[in-house]
Amino acid sequence: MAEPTFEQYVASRGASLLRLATVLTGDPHGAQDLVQTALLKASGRWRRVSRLDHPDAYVRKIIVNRYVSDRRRRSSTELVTAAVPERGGVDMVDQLGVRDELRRVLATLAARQRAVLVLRYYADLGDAEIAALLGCGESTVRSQASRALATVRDRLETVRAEEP
Amino acid sequence: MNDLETLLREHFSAEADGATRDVDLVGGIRGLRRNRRHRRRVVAGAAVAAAVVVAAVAVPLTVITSHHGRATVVTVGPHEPVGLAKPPPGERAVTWAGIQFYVPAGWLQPLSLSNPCALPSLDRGVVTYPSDTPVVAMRCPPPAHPVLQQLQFGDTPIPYTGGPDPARAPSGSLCPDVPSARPQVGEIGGLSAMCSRNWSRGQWVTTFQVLAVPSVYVLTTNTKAVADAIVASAHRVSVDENGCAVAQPRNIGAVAGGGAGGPQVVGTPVRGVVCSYKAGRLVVGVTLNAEELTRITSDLNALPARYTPAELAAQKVPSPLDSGGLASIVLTDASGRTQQITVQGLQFGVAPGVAGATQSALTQALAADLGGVLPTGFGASAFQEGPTAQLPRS
Repeated sequence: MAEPTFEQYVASRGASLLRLATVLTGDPHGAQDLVQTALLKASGRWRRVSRLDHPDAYVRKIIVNRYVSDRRRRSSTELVTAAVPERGGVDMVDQLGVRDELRRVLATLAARQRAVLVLRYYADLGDAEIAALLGCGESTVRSQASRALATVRDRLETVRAEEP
Repeated sequence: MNDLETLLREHFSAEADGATRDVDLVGGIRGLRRNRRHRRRVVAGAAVAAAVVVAAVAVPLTVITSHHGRATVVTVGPHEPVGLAKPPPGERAVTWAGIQFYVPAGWLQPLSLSNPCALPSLDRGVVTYPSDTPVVAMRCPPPAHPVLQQLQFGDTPIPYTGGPDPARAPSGSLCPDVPSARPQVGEIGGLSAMCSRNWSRGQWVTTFQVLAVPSVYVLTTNTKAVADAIVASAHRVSVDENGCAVAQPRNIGAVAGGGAGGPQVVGTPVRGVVCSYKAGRLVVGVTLNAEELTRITSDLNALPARYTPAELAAQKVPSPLDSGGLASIVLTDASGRTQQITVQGLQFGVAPGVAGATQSALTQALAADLGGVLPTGFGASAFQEGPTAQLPRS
């Protein structure tokens, strides 16, 4: 079977990649930038990429690593937040309030920690696959996930405890 | 799977639903390619700036491109001014994401890059934009008064479109009367909106969201009445209080007519407004005071003519690719004639020191002065990176 052209690949997989990038960045506009940059890189070597068993894995790896490195670079200059800066007094009564708070907490996680959570709970990848994507060991993935979950859990519980 | 993991799955799934649809990714990538090719030409020194005199059609057009200084300046015109909103006496209008509020006139937007640490006293409120807080956190000592009344603007990546059924607002205030009650949904100024309220550190925290608008407005006030009055003033606008269109006008950055070398600014402006846009949306509008108007006019007139319209057209890329943002400077002279100048921040930085140093010097003053008047991240993200970029005045 003939390999897909770059345009065919983008047409069939672009939306899925955009969804992944949106979950990673929490910002639909930033996600577009991220996906376009990743696809631009992939397009430069498309002949080789299209012959891979899983071109998606290759593009996804670019997206995730680009996201992590962009966040790291940006954190040393300016923190552009898509969400309102963290506030006390968040409504935790219903699911909507929890989501608001969850979004805030996730925005404060280190990029690699957030990426691990997204790849595990959104992309449904196993630790081995995540490790391969991030270029680290499985034990690192597990420890990053554990720390991230602990941070999220602590923050949600703290906010609940602050409620009158 | 525990509750937290379930919550994360649901949250990520909901966020994914907020992904932009119908995006022309292939077209965007072509634009990126063009942009990078252009950068390479600049780096290689193949692009030599040339002043080209073209017969003027409407008003002179002059273009300056600076990759290292990250500014592209285009002069276009004429531009019709748009209607301005009038706040009630004793109040002033503030706008974010197309929703305008009236806040007490004494409330400040104090965190401009020209004076980022000027936090007001306790009895005055503040209005803050999303990138204010981190900028201030990096540069300023902790505020003397950590508890302030304020209206914070923020983005939510996903507009509210359903989910748990919020309570319908009873008659009266849209916002719940007691803390931690279910969010209430009702109508404000013809807009479907949702409000929740809490009590934190001795202040009321009121969170307001217009449904289907991906933005959130958080009010921290000493009394509920202050927040309720501000929430009740919410209304949709197409033009903010400075005359800036809330959606990026199509003609921004467009090439209108030919151009000639000479002063960028035609005539003597008596009024100036800077509208900064990012991803097609107004970030903030600023009306220049007399000193700022003089300085920015002078900065613009100090720029020589550079690129031809053809080169400009090749370089223009869709706005979302230009994460540095874009500012439209609208100048009006005494006769009411307006002129619009677009300054485009280019985030795709050539490696510092490699290229563009001369051009960077050309736009440095303009970059610094614009960074000084725009209160949000426009100046920070567009102009402060790289060793030769000039920091705004402090």
